[in-house]
Amino acid sequence: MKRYQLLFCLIGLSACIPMEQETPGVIPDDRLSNFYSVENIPLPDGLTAEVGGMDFMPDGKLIACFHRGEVMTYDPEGKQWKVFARGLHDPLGIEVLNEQEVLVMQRPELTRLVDADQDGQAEEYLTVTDDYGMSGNYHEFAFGPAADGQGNYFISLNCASNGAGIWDELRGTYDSLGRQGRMYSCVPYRGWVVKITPDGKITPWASGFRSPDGIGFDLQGDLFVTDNQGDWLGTSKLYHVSPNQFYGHPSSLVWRKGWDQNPLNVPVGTLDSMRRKAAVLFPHNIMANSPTQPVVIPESIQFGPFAGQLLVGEMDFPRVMRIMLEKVKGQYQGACVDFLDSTGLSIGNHRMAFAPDGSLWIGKTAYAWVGDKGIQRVVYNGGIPMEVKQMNVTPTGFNLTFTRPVDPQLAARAENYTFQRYYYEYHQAYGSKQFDVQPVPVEQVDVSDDGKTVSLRLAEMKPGYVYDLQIDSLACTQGAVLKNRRLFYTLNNVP
Amino acid sequence: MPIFIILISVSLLASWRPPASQMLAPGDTTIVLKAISGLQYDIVRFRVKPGARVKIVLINTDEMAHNVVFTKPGYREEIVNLALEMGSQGVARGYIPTSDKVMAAIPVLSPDEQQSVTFQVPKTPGIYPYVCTYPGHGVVMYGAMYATTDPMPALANDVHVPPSRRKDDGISQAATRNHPYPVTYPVMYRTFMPDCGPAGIAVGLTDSLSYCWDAGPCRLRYAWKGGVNMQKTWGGKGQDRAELVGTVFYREPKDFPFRLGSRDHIPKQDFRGYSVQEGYPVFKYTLDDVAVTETITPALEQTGFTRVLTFENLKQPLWFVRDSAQTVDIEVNKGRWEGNYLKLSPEEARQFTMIVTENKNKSR
Repeated sequence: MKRYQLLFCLIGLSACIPMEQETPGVIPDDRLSNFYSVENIPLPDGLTAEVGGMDFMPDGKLIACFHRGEVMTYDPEGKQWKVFARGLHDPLGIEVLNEQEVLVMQRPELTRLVDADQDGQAEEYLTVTDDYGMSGNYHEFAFGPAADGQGNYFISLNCASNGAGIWDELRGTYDSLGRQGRMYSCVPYRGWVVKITPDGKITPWASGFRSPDGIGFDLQGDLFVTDNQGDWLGTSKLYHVSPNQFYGHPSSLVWRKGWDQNPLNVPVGTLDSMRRKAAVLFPHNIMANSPTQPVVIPESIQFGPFAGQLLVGEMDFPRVMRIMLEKVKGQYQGACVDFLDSTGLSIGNHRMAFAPDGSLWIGKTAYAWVGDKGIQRVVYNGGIPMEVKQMNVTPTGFNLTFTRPVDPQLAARAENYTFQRYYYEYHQAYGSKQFDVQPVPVEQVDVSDDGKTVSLRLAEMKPGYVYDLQIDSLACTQGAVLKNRRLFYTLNNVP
Repeated sequence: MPIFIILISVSLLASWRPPASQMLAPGDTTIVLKAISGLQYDIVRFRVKPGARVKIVLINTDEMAHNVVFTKPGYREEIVNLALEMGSQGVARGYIPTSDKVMAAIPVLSPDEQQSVTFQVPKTPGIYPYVCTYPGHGVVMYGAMYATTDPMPALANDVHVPPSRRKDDGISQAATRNHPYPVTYPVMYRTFMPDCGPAGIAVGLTDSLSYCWDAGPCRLRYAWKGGVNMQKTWGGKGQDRAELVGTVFYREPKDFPFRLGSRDHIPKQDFRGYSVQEGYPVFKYTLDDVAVTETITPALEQTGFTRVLTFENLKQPLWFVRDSAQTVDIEVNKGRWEGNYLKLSPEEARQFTMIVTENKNKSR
């Protein structure tokens, strides 16, 4: 009898103890930090390494701009830093044009830096455009540029904050209707994404942004912008941005042609009907507090089984998020999941760029908020970590596609998948709690013949909600456990 | 010493007040703790008698939410992690974890709120941490309550306060060096400047001569004897303008001083950038459709500067208006003065020099 009890006990343990405790004997290297290792880049003395932008030159050198106005190049081979330009005002983005020219987005303008004599230092600082307003408010950051590959650039312009006022002397037209509210837009195109053509002409492209620190294209040429939790944003978001659309923060509406009222007087229901919803919500305090740059994993490099997906940086957590998108009823939606947690990554993950060698460089900043300084480099060491590669919605639930075939017995257990769903309120108040939090039972689990896809049928699929999935013990057929087990799917539409 | 960047500690000292750490509370005591910009408390350590009753008043002067949690010695990080694990539950509970390691706490306060808590300091001498457990803040936003009658260790070596505050210069962001290169003159910063539009530029010509140029309306604003302190504008979120150190000796008139065609026609200004020649910025802009460059260098023998301007393909006369109230001499190599209006022909305006120097006779 005792023997049976012991045996029972062991079976019970093996089924419910997190698998990490077993796996060392099975696959000794099965930790995420063995697939992706993180190293710190040495920095020159005297550099306050708060990174505003990073890109790579055609010769493989990193070029980065920093909070105190420096633009520096770094040769990864010789580990040499060199000054390319200096004296810029809060540069927050950089884009390499060629061996001699880079674009830098600084607070007052988009600037083309030219090193005509190729001595490694720019001697021309040429204004591409400064045709947008500045009220002197500190929160009017300027982000980008994101290149569309056809010679156009897209920038995003932060709203001002009522944490401070505006100056007597402004740049651009003042509109008192845009001066209302917590984050406000009293000079042109604050809260807009703006398109800049090669000749420097600007077009206000899309409105409704609050603090859009991240802007970038995916491989299909679709434009994505992150925005930060606050007034009108119950939680932080990733938007797919289309021309002439409005994304929810109302102050910027004053710069729409023909607009003539206080946007805050428009009923919330009307604003709600006008806005385009986010493709992905980042649950506040759980996933992200301040999302930063979206960057696509190129298909031309080796960085694990996620080519073509977007990564999004995050300031407050030691985290980069991986985004799984799909189009449903013509609109992007999808899920976010941790990507580099527990690999030695620090917080303040502000700017990202893939080097020609396939490594991911991550620049940190704090800007007197939560954050860090420095640059980290993430190297993919080969192998396939056990992860959810894709999360797709079905009419009755979700399909989870894994990077490796699942252990079918573990994967078939419905109690391994705990769903809850909730929504964040669209309102003027700062942030939002989770409303209508409900568990969603999993009614059926099917594992595909190749073992790579698990289909989950849920008791309820409710559009407008975040589906928050916690996966418990799941492993691949070789015993490697699932690494990142909490996924958040933004269910805008059910197919 | 390059004044342009290093006239720093003066302002820090000005905002510096005697730290509470100097005060030994005799018995019951009140400590007013402020959450301030930059994820920090204004006081990073203080001393109380073991067994005393202490009232902590937390005032949130920052624009973000903050709390304060006092923990038993050595449990700061554990409590921060417990608060983080509260996830969305944390909001309702002010991010105060349930733990016997928490001695006292004030829940999350919104900007401008204040609240207090009174508690008995343990009789056991020790270093009791306090920390903001709002997610993400605890890494850098903390301090220490010393329950002891002994002196506290030197601040520079005190591991119980955040590294950035282990200096005697108060709320300092000052690095030993400001840039990864030695700063030489001329030096230029695009930054928020006083008495200027938001697209300001500060140029230090020498260690005792600087000017402010405005990339909004494309114009020189003023020049002064001294440098600029960048620390405040670098240290925060950019709320603060750079600080002038020194005396302004020249200001341009309020209205745009260049006129095209007639004395009254203020041309439309458009900034095009600058090139750097021998370290000096050569500003490029257009007035109506006329391309202009402007280069400012130090005057040779007096306090002042030389301004070389070029106007390309001008079709009409150019006027420059001076402000007669200014106590400077303005010397030009071309054109002629009509009262306070300098008139130049298109040919003269192709390139001309204006030397602006302090007029010692007129100075007040």
